[in-house]
Amino acid sequence: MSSQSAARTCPPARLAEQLRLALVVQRYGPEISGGAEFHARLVAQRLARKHELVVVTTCAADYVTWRNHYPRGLSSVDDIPVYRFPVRLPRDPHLFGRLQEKVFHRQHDERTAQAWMNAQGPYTPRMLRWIQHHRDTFNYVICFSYRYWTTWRVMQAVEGKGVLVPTAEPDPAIELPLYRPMFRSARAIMYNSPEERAMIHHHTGNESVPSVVVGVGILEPPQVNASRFRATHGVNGPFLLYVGRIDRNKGCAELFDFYLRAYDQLQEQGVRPPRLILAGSSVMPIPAHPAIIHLGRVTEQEKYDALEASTALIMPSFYESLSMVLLEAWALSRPVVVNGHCDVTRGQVQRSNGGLWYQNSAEFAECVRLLAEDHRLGIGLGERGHAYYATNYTWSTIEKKYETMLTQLEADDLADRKPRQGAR
Amino acid sequence: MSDDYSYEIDYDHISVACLMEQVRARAASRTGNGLTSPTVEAPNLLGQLRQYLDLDDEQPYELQRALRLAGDWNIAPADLRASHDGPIGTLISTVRRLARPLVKVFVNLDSPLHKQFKINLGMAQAIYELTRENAALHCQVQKLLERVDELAERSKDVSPGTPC
Repeated sequence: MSSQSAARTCPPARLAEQLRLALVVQRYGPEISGGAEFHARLVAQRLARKHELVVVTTCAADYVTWRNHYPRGLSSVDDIPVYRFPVRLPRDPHLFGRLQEKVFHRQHDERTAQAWMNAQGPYTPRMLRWIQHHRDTFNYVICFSYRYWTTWRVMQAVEGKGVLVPTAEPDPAIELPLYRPMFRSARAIMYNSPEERAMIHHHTGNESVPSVVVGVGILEPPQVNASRFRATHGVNGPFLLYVGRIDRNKGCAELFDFYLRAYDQLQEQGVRPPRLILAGSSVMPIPAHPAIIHLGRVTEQEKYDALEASTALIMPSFYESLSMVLLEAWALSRPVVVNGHCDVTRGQVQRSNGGLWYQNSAEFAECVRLLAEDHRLGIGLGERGHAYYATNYTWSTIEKKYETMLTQLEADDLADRKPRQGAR
Repeated sequence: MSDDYSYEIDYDHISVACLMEQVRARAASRTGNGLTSPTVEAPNLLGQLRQYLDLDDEQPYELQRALRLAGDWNIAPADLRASHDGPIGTLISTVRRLARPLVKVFVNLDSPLHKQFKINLGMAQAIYELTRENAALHCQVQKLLERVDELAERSKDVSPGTPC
């Protein structure tokens, strides 16, 4: 919590045990595996245990087109009521692309920025009307992903009640003036990492808004079995694991390049290079090399089994707002190797002492060599990563941070209301 | 470790910051050894080239971001209307913007310009990769030259009369 907020808050005299909360997110459903949406679902599951919570979302399942997929109206996911509203216009990629180019890289007026926002979507005016109508029935409205139309419009509609979970990455969108009022007028902000908070403070000047670095917990790791993974996939020996979409935008092109260089170097030096195992769907060519194994999409159980069996997890992405897979690796005491150009993942590794990072191919090779040769170091890094995870990212910690923030807001609101009543 | 370089690690109090200093120093001493594996990459070269050029509508912006190439260096449909001649330029831009629907009836330049914008980004990516590869090769050549000099010096030291 920011010091400003703490300073002006009185101890709560009487607090509502149960709050009425709405959680707004662009997509929602058990099949949706996007980072922010999954994050929202996990938070919703936990908050719904204590509070009266409804999820407000769209009928879309695909984040590229926002085409309506789910039936509109009230349904239930994990026993939580979910109100779905149809997206009026699916995204036109050509129009969106043109507007984005203009808004990100050219002088533009406010109308163009708003046209870009509408084109980005998911454009759901019915949701907005519903929220405006039911605004007073909720204590707070928690909005996920700052970037989308749903969050941008709802945060304006519920001013004074909107709690924002930005899940922001360092991209040109965060610099747009369009978003500044939203960040400055939020009732509170739940950040994923200190780096995300610093970036948003820098671009929006919202230091006075109450905030806390929360992050997200992960699903409880199941009973893991490394041998089962090795037997199922015929994998022997040490290996590095990459989990996620295999995409150039996730740093995979550089990963392949660096890995192949490291492979040759290690062989020349007489070190047995660990293999590289990729778990996830691919949208780019994967080099045909005997040491690179692509498993395709895997189940949660297989993912955890693979993590348990791995020498280390590799996270080559340049842009991450948190990276849940790092937490999953640390939950199983596995070390990680991250891209040093990504402030968030490097910051996580620096704070935890739970892994290494690289900024060029030589450093990558050295990290791989070190972990391949020094098992004691791998174990030590994994243990430190686990301790960091256990202190900061277990669900009890995350829930406590949400509860503390909501309690604090409720106390502030009560304190604000009392003087007004007294004046009458 | 497989060679004479050893890390100083306090296993009871591992400090990644301290460890990374050693990793960086070690990596710097090896710079130049990072050659690409031609046997693996050669068959993929054409595929890679196509990948640079076949960008979908989302990719260019991701790419521009990844390459840290923000700014207005690239061509864009807005350039067709832009004018930089002060107040008259603003007037000219306005006239061009107003005339745009009419011009569009005869010829639509937005589409080819957007295509060119994407191709430019693809080419920028290819140049970036080439520059990086060139830098790695340069280091390798430097290292080989040093090695050659070292061997030449050593051969000078061995005088003809010295027994082997």
